[in-house]
Amino acid sequence: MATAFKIVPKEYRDSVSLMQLSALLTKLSGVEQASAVMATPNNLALLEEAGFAVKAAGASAADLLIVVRGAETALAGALEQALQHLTRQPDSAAQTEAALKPRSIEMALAEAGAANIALISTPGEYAAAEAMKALRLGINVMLFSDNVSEEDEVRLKRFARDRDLMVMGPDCGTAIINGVPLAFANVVKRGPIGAIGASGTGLQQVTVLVDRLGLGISQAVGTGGRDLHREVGGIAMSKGLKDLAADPTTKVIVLISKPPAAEIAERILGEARKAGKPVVVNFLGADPARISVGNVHGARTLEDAARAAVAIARGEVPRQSYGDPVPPAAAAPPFAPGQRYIRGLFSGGTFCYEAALLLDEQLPDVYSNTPARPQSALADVWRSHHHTLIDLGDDVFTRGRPHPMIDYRLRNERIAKEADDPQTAVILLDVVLGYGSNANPAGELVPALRRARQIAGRQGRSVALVGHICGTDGDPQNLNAQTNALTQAGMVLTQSNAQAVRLAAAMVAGGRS
Amino acid sequence: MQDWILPALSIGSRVAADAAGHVRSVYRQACNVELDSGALLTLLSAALGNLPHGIRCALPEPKDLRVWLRPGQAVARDGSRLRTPRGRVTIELSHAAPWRCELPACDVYARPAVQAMLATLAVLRERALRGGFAPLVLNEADPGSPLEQAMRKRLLDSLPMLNRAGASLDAALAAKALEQLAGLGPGLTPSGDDFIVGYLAALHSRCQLEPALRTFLRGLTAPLARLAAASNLLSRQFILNAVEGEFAEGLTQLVAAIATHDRQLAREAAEQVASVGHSSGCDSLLGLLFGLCPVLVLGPAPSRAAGALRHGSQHAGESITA
Repeated sequence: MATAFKIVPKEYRDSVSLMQLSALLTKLSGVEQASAVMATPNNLALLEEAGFAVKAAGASAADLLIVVRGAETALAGALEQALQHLTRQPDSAAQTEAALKPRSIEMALAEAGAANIALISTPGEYAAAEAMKALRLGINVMLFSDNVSEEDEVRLKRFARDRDLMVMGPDCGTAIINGVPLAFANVVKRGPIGAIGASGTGLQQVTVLVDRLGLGISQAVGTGGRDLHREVGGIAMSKGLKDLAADPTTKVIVLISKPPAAEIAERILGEARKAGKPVVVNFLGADPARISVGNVHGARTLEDAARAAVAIARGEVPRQSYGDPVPPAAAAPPFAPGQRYIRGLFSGGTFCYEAALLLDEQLPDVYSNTPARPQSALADVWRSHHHTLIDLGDDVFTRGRPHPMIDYRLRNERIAKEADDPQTAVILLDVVLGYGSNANPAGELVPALRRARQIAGRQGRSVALVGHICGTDGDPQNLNAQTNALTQAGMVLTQSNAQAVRLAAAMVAGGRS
Repeated sequence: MQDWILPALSIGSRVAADAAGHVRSVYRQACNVELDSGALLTLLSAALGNLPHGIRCALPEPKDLRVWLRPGQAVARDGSRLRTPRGRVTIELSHAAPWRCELPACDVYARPAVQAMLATLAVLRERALRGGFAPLVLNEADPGSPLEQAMRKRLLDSLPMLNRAGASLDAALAAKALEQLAGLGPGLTPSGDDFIVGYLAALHSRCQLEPALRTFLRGLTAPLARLAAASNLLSRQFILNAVEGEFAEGLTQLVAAIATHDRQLAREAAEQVASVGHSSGCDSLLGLLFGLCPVLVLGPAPSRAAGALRHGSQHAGESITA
């Protein structure tokens, strides 16, 4: 029987570790006894009393003493194992370090030094402060949060402008930066068309259509819905325009917005004319003919903007309008007497507004919570009146529940309600795919569509279900599967929102005639 | 690279205002820093109780100090902050509540207090199954290893000696007994040191009602300071705190529960203390009970090896059997 020991200077292991070490050594083959104790004078004396021959001259109470007794051949290996045990990094520490998440923009930036944009999604009351922190750190901001005051927006954007930075937002729901979809955005090819939009779904529609038409997107920049307000001054759109003008990969620029303040529109259009490359402008509701000058091409609809941009990028002359006449409404079911109205239930606010504009040109009595004209505002958003177009993403509907692109329950209830209305002829819908949206919209919608048809059928009527899918083959929801499921449920799908609106209008016009 | 800023929740009364030193050891919920002065500073997770030399901090998930701190890293006070320049962590002290141990007076002769001590003893018996002093003193079974046998033999010599010293208020004899215990046994803070801390907690509590004990306690100050100086960083700090009447919050709460005759609270507090380390908590409990009522530890039965040497503890024994 032999004894061997090792002194580990100033080794501070907790009691449990020391006990585990002792137990580990005792289990080793050839080791009869083992002990790991602090090398205090009393412990050294105790070891001697216990028969361990330990001559640890120079050891102090701060040192760890490992003693093993057993077969002589086993002791050196045992001490080696003990040292390995002590030097091993605890697994849990390594794991927890990996699990650690940055808690601030500054910390995240320290982790990813090359990042130059911060996506901020916090309650509105904190969002401006976080955005300012990012700007002070010299990086651009995508401000997904809403409920940020216009004063804060102006302050942030002016601060950013002075530093040649961009603030996208607040309430900026969509962007595609360097091919990466941010927030609610679709997976599109990269290509020569850059888009700047004050509207999330507007940007989605244009980028999706560009992708379907075979080209791609260089950058898609959101500005937030108020950017072209007089008070904000279109700072983000100006910055985006300047950047895309300077971007060699961008051959054509598309600007998208609801009607800007007149002086802001003039200034932005003036900048567009100096961009040095073609610029397609879709200011919804504005007269395209008054916009089209030189390199600037006005577009009436989102689809027109996408098609014009693609045509220009291909070296073709864009058409003034791509709103081809809808063929005779063969897809329309026979309507019963009294069935004469379109009921549009939208998850995208810009789709709703575009629909209101297009229908208002064709039909009387079009009401909406995003009206084309002030007098067309819907008095009670919970009750349809004549032709009715509802943006279900409005704050009235989203308090306490997710956005309708995510949560379909409210829309499904409203579909049933509209189907039960004997005046409803067409239910007009949008279905938005891409990141951020519901993982399986067809799975949500199909039961509601079937129920709508049953409700109407029981009353001896048929309702037409019309819509479009804003999505690409690359989107995670599987565009083909969504299309098939919705088609089988009786929905007539078009390629764009504008087409769906025109088809719906043609259906009710046909039914009326 | 920006530091994580951890807010300190409380700061112990013995934390030096100009603390600066190096990390010596880091565990999940505690980090020991050896200060340039030779004192110990312990950074603690909020889940742990206060220490006189400790700073309790709110830790973010995953609540593991090892994420930021490594042995050898420098730590320095910078105004209201404690910084670890290479540790990516800064501890903000400005909102920390000061914490000071306030050990209550315990009347060990009162029957309800003894009942609370018995509740504590019950916990100790349940928890002290292996390792340290407590199983060797409280259990009938023979110790397994030669090392434990030697340790038990040492205890059979020193504990009755300490008991006699306490009964006769002989500080020199007590110092001799404590000298045999200091640094003895397993653990980073050896069992003997933990025992001494618990023992001193009992004496500091008792002497508030038993003036005669104060001289006895004063007589232990210098010997214990010498013993502490020869011990390791952690033991030294705990013993020096104890000499000054300052103890960990858990031990303080246990003494308070006994002093207020709250058996349930005593049991809960004893559980907390017993959970510290592998055997440290139990050894502190043993020292506390020994200091409050030696007969509880040495036992009344003459058949027991330790109990055979229990003379000098009649005052407590009378209380129990009254």
